[in-house]
Amino acid sequence: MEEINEVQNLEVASDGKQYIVVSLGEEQYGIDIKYIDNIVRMSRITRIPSAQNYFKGVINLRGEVIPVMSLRLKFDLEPDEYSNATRIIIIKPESQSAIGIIVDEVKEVITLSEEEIDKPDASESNDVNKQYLSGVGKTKEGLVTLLNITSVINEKENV
Amino acid sequence: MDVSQYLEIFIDETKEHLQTLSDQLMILEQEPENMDTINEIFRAAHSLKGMAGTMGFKRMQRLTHDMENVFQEIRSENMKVEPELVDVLFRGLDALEGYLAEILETANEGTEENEDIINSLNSIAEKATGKSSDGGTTAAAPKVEAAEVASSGEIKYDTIQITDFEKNTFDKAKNENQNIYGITVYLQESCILKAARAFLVFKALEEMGEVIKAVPDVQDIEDEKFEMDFSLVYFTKEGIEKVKTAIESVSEVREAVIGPFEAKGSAATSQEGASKPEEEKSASAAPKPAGNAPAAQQAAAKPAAQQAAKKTPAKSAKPTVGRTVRVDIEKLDVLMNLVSELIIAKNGLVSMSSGDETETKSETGFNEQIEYLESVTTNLHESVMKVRMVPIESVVNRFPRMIRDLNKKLGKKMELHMTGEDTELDRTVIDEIGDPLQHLLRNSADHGLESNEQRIALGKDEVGHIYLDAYQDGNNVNIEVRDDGAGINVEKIKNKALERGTLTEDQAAAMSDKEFIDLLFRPSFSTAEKITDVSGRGVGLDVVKTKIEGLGGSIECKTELGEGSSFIIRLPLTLAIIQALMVEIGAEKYAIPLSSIQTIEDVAFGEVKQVQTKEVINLRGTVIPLIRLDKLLDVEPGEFKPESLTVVIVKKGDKQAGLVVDNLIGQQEIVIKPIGDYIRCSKLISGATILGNGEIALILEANTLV
Repeated sequence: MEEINEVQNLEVASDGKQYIVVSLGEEQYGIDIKYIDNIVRMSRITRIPSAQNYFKGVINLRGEVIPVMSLRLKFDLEPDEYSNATRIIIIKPESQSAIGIIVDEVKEVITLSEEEIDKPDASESNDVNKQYLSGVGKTKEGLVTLLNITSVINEKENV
Repeated sequence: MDVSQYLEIFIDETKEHLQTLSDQLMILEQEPENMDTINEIFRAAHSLKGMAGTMGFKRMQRLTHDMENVFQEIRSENMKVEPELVDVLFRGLDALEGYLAEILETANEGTEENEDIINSLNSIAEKATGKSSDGGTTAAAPKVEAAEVASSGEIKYDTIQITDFEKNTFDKAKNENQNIYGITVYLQESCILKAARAFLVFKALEEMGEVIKAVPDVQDIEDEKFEMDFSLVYFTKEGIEKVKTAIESVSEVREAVIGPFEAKGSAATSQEGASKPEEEKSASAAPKPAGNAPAAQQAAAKPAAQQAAKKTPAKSAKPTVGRTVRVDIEKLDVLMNLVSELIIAKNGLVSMSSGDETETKSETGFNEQIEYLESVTTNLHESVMKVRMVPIESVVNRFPRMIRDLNKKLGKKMELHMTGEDTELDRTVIDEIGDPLQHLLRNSADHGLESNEQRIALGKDEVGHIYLDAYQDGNNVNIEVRDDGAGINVEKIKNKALERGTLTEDQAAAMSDKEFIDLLFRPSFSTAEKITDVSGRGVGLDVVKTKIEGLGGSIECKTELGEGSSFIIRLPLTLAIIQALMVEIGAEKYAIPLSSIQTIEDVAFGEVKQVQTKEVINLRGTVIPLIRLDKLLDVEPGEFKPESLTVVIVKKGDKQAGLVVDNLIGQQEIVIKPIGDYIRCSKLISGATILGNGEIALILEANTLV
């Protein structure tokens, strides 16, 4: 388990927003650090019968039962292959209960200022998953898709 | 001075007093001459008045004051208790409960004056005693005193020194046509809560203008560091008289001396720091809110920031009062002891692991310690549960009053008999059970009982009887609502169902009486021919059922035509921890609550029969449908092919079903954890629990299967 408390303390220091960069296959996604409660290693997931297909089940996080969803399945990508780098990111929105999302790898923490973020262009892309995006961040290494994490976890029906 | 910290105590105590009032009024109605009761009511009204006054709830204070007055007259035997008076008093009680409800939600008493109740109280007192009532009520009484005692208050505010930048705000105020007053407030010598009174004065003043300066300063006044008076400089657009009345309406204020205030600053107006005066002004005008402004904003953003909300009661949206349980100190002592035992047990284990005893010896010692630990945790669990338990009394004690009102409203004579009020239930259950019970009682009163004439014609006792019995039954608590009325006419339900198209003729023919009665629990099904404002809209029993099932309980109805009907509610003792049977289905583990399990059977394959393409077994004469859990839960079938089926028979009311499982693990005490609302979870799963090895097992809700 990797505690990210230190990272959170740094947040105030700069004027930009901080994002945790995760990878799903070839793509890189950024998640606003303020929603992240914790990052844990893959642990045993208990299946929930007749749940949405992208919900892998529930895990036990220090005595709390937390639902876990697969970002890959949610984004209609190939099913997850768990490796040593696979992590569950525990998201804790302000007024909701915690939820975990499975990612291939957690890369780094980046700070993006307003200028470095491009808002999604409504006309250009007709991607079905566009509703989950809040913008694209430009870093030295390349582009990072910034996730609108609250809409990712809150959309209840997706058939 | 901030009274909000006393709000919780106030609410608790008010509830108690209101309950006393209600109980005693019921007695009074039966025995109008009972002096003890009258005294009791007088005391309760008096305490309520005092408390409401301290908290600054003036309307509530006024109403209780008048109630108290009436009882003062009765006590001194100037008048007698008439039924009419009791009715008015009950209305007053309802009004007080209304205030309390408002206070609970907004920390404010609201604006309902209840003028009519006060007037009828006064006119009753007037009529009975022949005297004219002291129409001015509460506010008048202290005012008269004040005028007598202190006519010559010193004008102390003249001595207030004004600094340069305060002077600046003076000029500004003059430009805005504000009046500048000096005020000296004198409290009564007998005043105990000086700071509280001063706070109320400030509050009253801030409604009409701004307090610019106070001597001694605001902090000292809050800390009660002043004698019987304090002086203020005050900006307002209102006239002197209005300000004076506002201050003197605060109780225990002896006098307020007010006059125009001339600034006697040391130096002439200086221009330095144009922004400073602004700061000073806002800081002194509203010392508390200003300091907390950032906090208040945060509070708005984060509903959880309760502390900030407490400090600014007027501004935050909802200073909801925390839910509390009063705990007997003995129960806490037991908890304390158990915790110390727990520590001893832990220490035993620690010394065991670091000890240098021989291996065999430590093995037995280890087991002993584990057993000790087990007994301690079991006891601890029991004690914690007991702390959460509240006698059902707190819910049911309002029912006699309700039945009394229905008595009058429906024009039926009826009596409520209650037993087992001391039966204890979990606090969360207690909070929710009130409405369903009230609904059932209303049903019984309105539909269940026949009219008085009918009863006499049927040779029954003229007075209808409704029973509310609560008792513990194993791990459940049963609450029975029973009446000796007409009972439920099954034919009527049948006709209604056919008429409404709920059932076809064929279906109806195949149904038992019991199944017809179950129809009553369907949404929007009412057999009442006429809708009254008591009940009969058909939005009732299904809501009751949903609510009770939400609490993990069940409801059942038994009826005998002409003899009466009874509704039996079964509730679990506690919600969080249950005994469960752990089973294996494929490779997955599930928990079935023990409370719903009847038996466990080994059934040979040959005994499974097919009825209408459904699998059933015949168990000692009863035909029980089989449910293949592995199919229902999409479990991948295991390799292992058993010789026979292991069937867990579960029951719900009189119905049964057999759940086919692969393997039994054993009985275990499990802690129920919610799964959360993200996952669209089938109704089968009521929650999850964490097993000893950290694994999660899902809890099967047997009620939905049957």
